[in-house]
Amino acid sequence: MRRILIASVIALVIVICLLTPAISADSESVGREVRIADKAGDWGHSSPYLTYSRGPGYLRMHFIFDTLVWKNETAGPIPLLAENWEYVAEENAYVFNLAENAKWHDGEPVTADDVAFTISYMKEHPYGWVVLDSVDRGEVIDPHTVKIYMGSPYAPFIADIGGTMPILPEHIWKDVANPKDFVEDGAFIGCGPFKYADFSKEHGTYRYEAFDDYYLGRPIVDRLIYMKAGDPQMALQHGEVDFADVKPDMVDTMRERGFVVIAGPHYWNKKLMINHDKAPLDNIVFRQALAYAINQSEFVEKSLRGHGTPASYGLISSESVWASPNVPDYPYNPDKAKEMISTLGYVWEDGVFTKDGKPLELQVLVSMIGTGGQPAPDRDGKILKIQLEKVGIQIDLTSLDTKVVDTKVINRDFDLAISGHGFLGGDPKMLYDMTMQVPGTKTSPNTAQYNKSEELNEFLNGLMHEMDPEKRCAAVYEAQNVYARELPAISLYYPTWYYAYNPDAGVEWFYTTGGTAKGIPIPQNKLALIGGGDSAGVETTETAETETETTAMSAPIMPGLAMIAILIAFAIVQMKRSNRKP
Amino acid sequence: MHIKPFQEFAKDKIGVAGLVLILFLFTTAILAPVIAPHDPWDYSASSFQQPSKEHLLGTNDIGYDIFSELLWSLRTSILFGIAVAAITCTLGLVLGVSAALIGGMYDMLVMRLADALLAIPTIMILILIAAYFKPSTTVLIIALSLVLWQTIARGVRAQTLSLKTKLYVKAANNMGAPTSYIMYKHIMPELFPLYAMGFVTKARIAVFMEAGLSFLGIFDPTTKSLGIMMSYAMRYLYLDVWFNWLLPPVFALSLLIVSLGLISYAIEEIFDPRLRRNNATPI
Repeated sequence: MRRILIASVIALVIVICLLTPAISADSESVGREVRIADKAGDWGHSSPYLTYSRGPGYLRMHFIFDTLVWKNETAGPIPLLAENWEYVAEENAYVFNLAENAKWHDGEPVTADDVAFTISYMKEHPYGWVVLDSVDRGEVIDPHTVKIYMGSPYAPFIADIGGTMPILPEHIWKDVANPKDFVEDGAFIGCGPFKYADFSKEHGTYRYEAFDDYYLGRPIVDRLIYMKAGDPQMALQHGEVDFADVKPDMVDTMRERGFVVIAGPHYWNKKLMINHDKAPLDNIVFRQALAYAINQSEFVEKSLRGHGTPASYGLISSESVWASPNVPDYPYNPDKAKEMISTLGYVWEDGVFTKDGKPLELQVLVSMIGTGGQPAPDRDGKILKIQLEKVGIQIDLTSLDTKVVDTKVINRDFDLAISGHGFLGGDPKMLYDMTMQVPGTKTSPNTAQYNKSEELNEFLNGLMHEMDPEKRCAAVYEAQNVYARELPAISLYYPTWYYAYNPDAGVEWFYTTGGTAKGIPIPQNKLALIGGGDSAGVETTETAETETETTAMSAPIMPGLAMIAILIAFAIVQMKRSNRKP
Repeated sequence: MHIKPFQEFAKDKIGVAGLVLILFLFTTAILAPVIAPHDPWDYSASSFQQPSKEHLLGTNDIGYDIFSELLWSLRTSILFGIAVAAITCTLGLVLGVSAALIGGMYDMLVMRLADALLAIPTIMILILIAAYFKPSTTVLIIALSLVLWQTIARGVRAQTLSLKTKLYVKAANNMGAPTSYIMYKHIMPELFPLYAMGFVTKARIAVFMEAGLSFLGIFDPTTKSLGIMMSYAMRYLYLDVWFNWLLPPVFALSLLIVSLGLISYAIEEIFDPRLRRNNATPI
């Protein structure tokens, strides 16, 4: 009996000793943390050259690396690493004054040399997100002033390069010959609000720690974690994460459960790609007839169940600051469409247009196209088929793998294809990229490859090279108007995306105006995690302190409990002994 | 024939159950245009309606009537199953018998081709075809038939080879009967069990494949299919639509496969002497 008692006391003590350090260590490290769910998980290492070249990959990196300028919920460009900047027209150069208190995560100061170095380094080792062809060189004026010279006038410079190019520390990267193989600790030293702490490719998790010396003030959370979740919405509901994307049909339910739901601006479009090299699609009148035959509202109502809006025919989102006020419109009018088609020599026979005895038939390629690499349900093909068959065009609907559809579109081996892309709210450079095929560049499946309109080409070149803001704006408007008139592709609709967050986590997430960086339509902007002196920041700091106190108080409890347990055990043993003696 | 297959079948409760089930599904599928309360391609109803008198199983995300969609999908599945089974059996029979009768180089070629096809997983070939070419229903039926004939051909060939040596076949031959007569009168009837079973088995595989391919989204998107229904329903599971949207196609597909399975089980029991029960009726 006694042995058993002693043994169980020892076991109890061991268990308590084992538990105590683990628990107290855990409690010490508990600070404010924010968890974000992601379905895919792995987006590559959080270093500029190592992330996957998609939006979520860039976002994993942007917490660590800062750019010269940035955007917030309502405005952009706003100062980030550069406190202010100006364009010197005579020299075709931008002068940036950098924040003097900015430091790298290893303690070195951020200087103008680092910016000049980044430009020369990225010219030598091209970085997917930034094309530096238009930039000539960076020149250091003083330790915190840098002048960037452009080779030719490049209007999108601030948005496209200033707000997207991560600045690299020269003292680390100057010796790196092959940036794609550089995975050592130095690859994760930036000057952003968070320091790299951990990444697991297998689990798809990322961990970042707050950078105490961040020049805009310490972030309001101590730790930022990305977690892979099969169903992000469920993970949010179960409290495993604080922030996740939610499905449109669940918005009301999530609001009822106390989550804050933010609806995204419309910067992504479902687009009907048109092979304008092939008859009858090479005819502008026929393409306009298609636009009249397509009922955008029906797509929104049926395919999105109302969670979206009809798209502008000028490609640039109607919600963008760059949207032209007078883009040609094509209100749904099947009769007008039929009328226009019959002017092209087609004869209406039993509900189908024919020419030379052959029916008018077009093939429509569809695939499971989604955003961020996540396939989404597609009902659009069926709706389009019914709409076009109403105006006498026979549709052969073919469902193929997304990559096959992309290849066929690039090789112009199709009639019509339903595709989609984002960046509609970013710099209007997008309109140029999605219309023209720039010689010598890799063809994107989203570009219309439409170079045949002199008028459109002129306006597109204007929006790329016109440095005068007013003149540039006029060119952007005109380009949209001509685009909508000639219709190299037809934008169908903008889906509304929703994200929800747990307000108790203390972070108010927001959608960046025009999309984060170049136009990433995901509401993860590092500025949401930097207090910036607003009320949310103050509140959260207070909560953080209280939490630290409770942690400090709870820590000594465990050893204390262990001591009490041991004392009680000894007391029992002693009592048993004294009972036996007489 | 040494047994009366239909009488045997009638005695087999499992087989009869399968037959009744398949006849029920078959009738439903044939009568789909009459029974279905709505046009399955009409999306004018509002989406995600609960089951009601108007829509027996409610409506789906786009506003299709789920019950009508189910009936039409069943039709696609059954049609696909029968078509594939018929072509496969014909192919298997022709190739198997001809290989046995002609022999030589031809026999070797056909049998090696059959071996090669046995080694390649069918589903991979189909996914490749479906992903890169226009996967119309007809193309897929033919493609699937072209990769499924080998087991039937092997069985038929082996059986024909053994029948060739039978005395009554030799007798007929000696009496001057032409090969076509021997084929029709003596060999084909003896092979009946092989293709009866082959037909049911292949139909079962085809139904399953069709559902699988359309579930993966590589089947003709304009047809109605149990697999497509399931794949869409899976995406909206969070809305608690499983009982009226996911369950019906799963149940219909399972019923179809189970009934075909039961029939093939019964046929196998009747014709395979090792499985035959003692109460079989000898002639």
